[in-house]
Amino acid sequence: MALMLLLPSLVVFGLFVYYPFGRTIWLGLFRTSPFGNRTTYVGFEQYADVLASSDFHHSLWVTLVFTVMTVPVGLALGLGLAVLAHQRLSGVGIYRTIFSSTVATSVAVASLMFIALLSPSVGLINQIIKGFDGDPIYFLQRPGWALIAVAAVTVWQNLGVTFIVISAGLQSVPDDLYESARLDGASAWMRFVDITLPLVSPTLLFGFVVLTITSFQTFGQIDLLTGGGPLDATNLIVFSIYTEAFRNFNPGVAAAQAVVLFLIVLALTVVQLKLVERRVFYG
Amino acid sequence: MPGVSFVEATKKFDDVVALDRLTLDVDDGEFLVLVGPSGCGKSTALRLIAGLEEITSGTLTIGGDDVTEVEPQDRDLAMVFQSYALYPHKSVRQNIEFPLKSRKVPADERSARADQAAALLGLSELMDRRPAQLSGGQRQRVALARAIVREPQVFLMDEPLSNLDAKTRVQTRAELSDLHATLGATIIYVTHDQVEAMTMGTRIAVLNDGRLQQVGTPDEVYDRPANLFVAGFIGSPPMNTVHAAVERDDGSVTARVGRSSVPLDGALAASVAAASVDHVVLGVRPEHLTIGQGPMVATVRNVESLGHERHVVCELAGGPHDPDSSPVAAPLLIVRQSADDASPSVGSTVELVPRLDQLHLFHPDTGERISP
Ligand SMILES: Nc1ncnc2c1ncn2[C@@H]1O[C@H](COP(=O)(O)OP(=O)(O)OP(=O)(O)O)[C@@H](O)[C@H]1O
Ligand SMILES: [Mg+2]
Repeated sequence: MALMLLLPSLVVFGLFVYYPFGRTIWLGLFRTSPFGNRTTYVGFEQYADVLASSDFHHSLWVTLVFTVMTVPVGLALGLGLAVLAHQRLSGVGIYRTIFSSTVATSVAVASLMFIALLSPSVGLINQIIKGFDGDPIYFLQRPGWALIAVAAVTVWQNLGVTFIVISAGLQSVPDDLYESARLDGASAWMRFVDITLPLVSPTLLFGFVVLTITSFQTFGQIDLLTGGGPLDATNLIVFSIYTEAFRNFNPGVAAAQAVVLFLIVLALTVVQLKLVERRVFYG
Repeated sequence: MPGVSFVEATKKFDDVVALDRLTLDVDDGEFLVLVGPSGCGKSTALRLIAGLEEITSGTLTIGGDDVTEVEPQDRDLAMVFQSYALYPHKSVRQNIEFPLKSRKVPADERSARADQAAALLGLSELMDRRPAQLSGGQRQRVALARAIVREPQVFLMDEPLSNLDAKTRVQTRAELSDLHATLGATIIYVTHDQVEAMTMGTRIAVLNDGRLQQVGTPDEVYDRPANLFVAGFIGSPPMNTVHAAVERDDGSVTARVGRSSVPLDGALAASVAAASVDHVVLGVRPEHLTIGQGPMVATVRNVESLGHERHVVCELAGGPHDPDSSPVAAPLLIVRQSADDASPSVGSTVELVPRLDQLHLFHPDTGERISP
């Protein structure tokens, strides 16, 4: 009986999650020759190669830098906006709508918008720089700028969700705690540090974990904005897996990289949860 | 020490009038108890004083100064919230110390004063717990400790003892009274509890539907309720009230209900004449009725024994039934007897003797007191 009830979800999970996952691990055990379809079983040798490859290390490093650039900034901005929009002021609903609007924007639209904004010749930002007699900045074409530009797009793109999630966290803090804190003489800053932060910390942790995972999975922005370049400066790991599989026709290497990525994200998540859990208050 | 004054203060939430033209002076160092049924505006009044809500019209002064523009944190008052409002992520100690911490009291003084407040409320053992690990009564005591630790000018307490067991409640009541005596602070205290209202307050203010019904010392409010609402609200069991016809017969004036006829003395008769009514609502407290030989005829409907005393529920014989205007018209009277008195049997017919110097008369239409 129990099995009968579980069967539908087992079938769905098996078909769409476990089978592809097992298949990926399996694929990673075969090497494809550069010029044809001949595949040979090489066992875990390919995994070892991937782990030792400097290209892979580079991708991992870029991904890590990208994560450090996007996650804390994204959380801080989301928290800031959520706190602002949580004030009981008239007209605040308009700001809530504006702040959450990036949710309704797809990665593609966001990327196109930023291509237009960042364009060296006609982009708004460079127009402003020119207005101050500056030289135009090739945001997406210079290795030093490209990752920052992509990170900015990502932060912007994620801001809507981050804002909504943190706003929900703020809603769950009872008003009378703020009232009591005011009567207890706490300044606005103390109320933020002593009441708001600890009580939304579970939400922030949730946001932290989710944003980290999404940043490790970033693909669309890279594909549309920089194609991994210039000089691999934005070759984040998922983009490199994609290149390996569909440009270089090396499904085995791509699969091995994907499995390693999975293990890294898994480990990161576990470590994050364990580390932060202790410092987080749960009601 | 500042007193608190409302003048014609009105608070509306959209179209709900929570407080309606409240005029009330709370003197310096006074212990004022606010009582009234649920939703009558007690918490709203406290929140206005605290500055957590803005007054819609009228004025509110603390220590003679209009406080409309003064932020809650600058009003030098402490509030015990009906919901406790403890900081869930802080320990009991951190909760109690918080008002001191936010006012930059040095750490060692902070912990000494927190210890003192905790000891007063029997919380010393619980200092390291979180609010979630406390019982309702313990939480309430933490909220009280957090309020008293700072020794502010004005205390606002919204049913601070409602969740304590009988013993702790008696203790804490005494401690609050002591605290009031030693600090000389102004305390405004909301309660549902008759005993708390009667024993703790220097004065009682009775609210109903956002309107002030009466303010006075506990004795004044009990002995001379200003209207039928107060008569029914203060006192447990409440005052008996019945509609009666006024009858004049060569000089003597009586109030008649069915087959019962209660003589009204000179002062009462004069007040009836002054009000020029031919009907009154006659009120008499349960302890001012005895069973014996008297002017009121009734049937015993029920006898409730409380151990130390007994409530005998009687129905007046031949009284007018007017179910629309209960509780006034239902001619049911409660007689409060000592447990030593002989208990009447249910269904028997008895005669009731009211204390003629303890009768209350109210206007039949407005419900206002007309007797002196
Ligand atoms: N924030 C609010 N918005 C709308 N109406 C409110 C608000 N606060 C209180 N009210 C209304 O104002 C009236 C008075 O409420 P208040 O909380 O002062 O009652 P109370 O006397 O404290 O009752 P209780 O004894 O149940 O605590 C009620 O009708 C209530 O519904
Ligand atoms: Mg209330």
